[in-house]
Amino acid sequence: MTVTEIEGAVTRVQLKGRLDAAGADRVGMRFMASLAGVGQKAVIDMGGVDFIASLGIRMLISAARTLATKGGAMALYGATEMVQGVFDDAALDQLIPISATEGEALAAVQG
Amino acid sequence: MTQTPAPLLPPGPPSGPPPLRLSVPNVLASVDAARLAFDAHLAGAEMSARARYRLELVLEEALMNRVWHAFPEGGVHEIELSLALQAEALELVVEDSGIAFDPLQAPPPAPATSLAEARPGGLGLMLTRKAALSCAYERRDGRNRLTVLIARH
Repeated sequence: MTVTEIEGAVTRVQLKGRLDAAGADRVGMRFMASLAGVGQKAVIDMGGVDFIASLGIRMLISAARTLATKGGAMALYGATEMVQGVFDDAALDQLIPISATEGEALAAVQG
Repeated sequence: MTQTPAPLLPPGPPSGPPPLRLSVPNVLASVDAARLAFDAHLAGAEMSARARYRLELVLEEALMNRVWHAFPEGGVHEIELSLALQAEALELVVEDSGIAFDPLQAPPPAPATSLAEARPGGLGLMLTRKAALSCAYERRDGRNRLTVLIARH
């Protein structure tokens, strides 16, 4: 997991590897800690994630909810085909903006 | 000397490795252990990348469901897994002697349209149903048995 501050004080988090039960357990606390700011905007690069199931999705929803309650926003982008397929099956885009590119994700959190 | 032609054999089950059977404890780390055993067993098998993903997803969801719900009294218990390769599908069976608990009975998650409404329950089951050709639960002789078929291609 890599955290960078990018334009307009937006945090970019690049998640990597498997967001399976063990992965979500391993990265979950650091992930939540990176998104702890009030009013924080974050774009999450999913390109390096090669597996996700319900626990990983719950982790993303939990993070998005935490940010939203503190006046911030979160968007996901760059998911590979099969991870995007799981997002679609879960209708995750009803809860969190999901796009192909970082540019679109930035627009989603800054708009 | 004439050679007798070999007898024509009736079509039998598809040739391939016999089913993999393994027993894992009811802990989080078992998901990875089982997945790696499955990977090794299926290394030479002809199947799509999508099928491999679906199998991993179903394995994780089924195993974690057992870890959380089958043994409310706690303690270390065994969960038996079997993986069989059929012509068009993979058959995964997850069996345990925990409390009677049908993982297929969880209500489907109500479609949430806002973060505030989103409830965690049922997502794993929904993803499992979408990944599988079929799911079946049976309670017999004090054991829970979940059978899932996943398309190979």
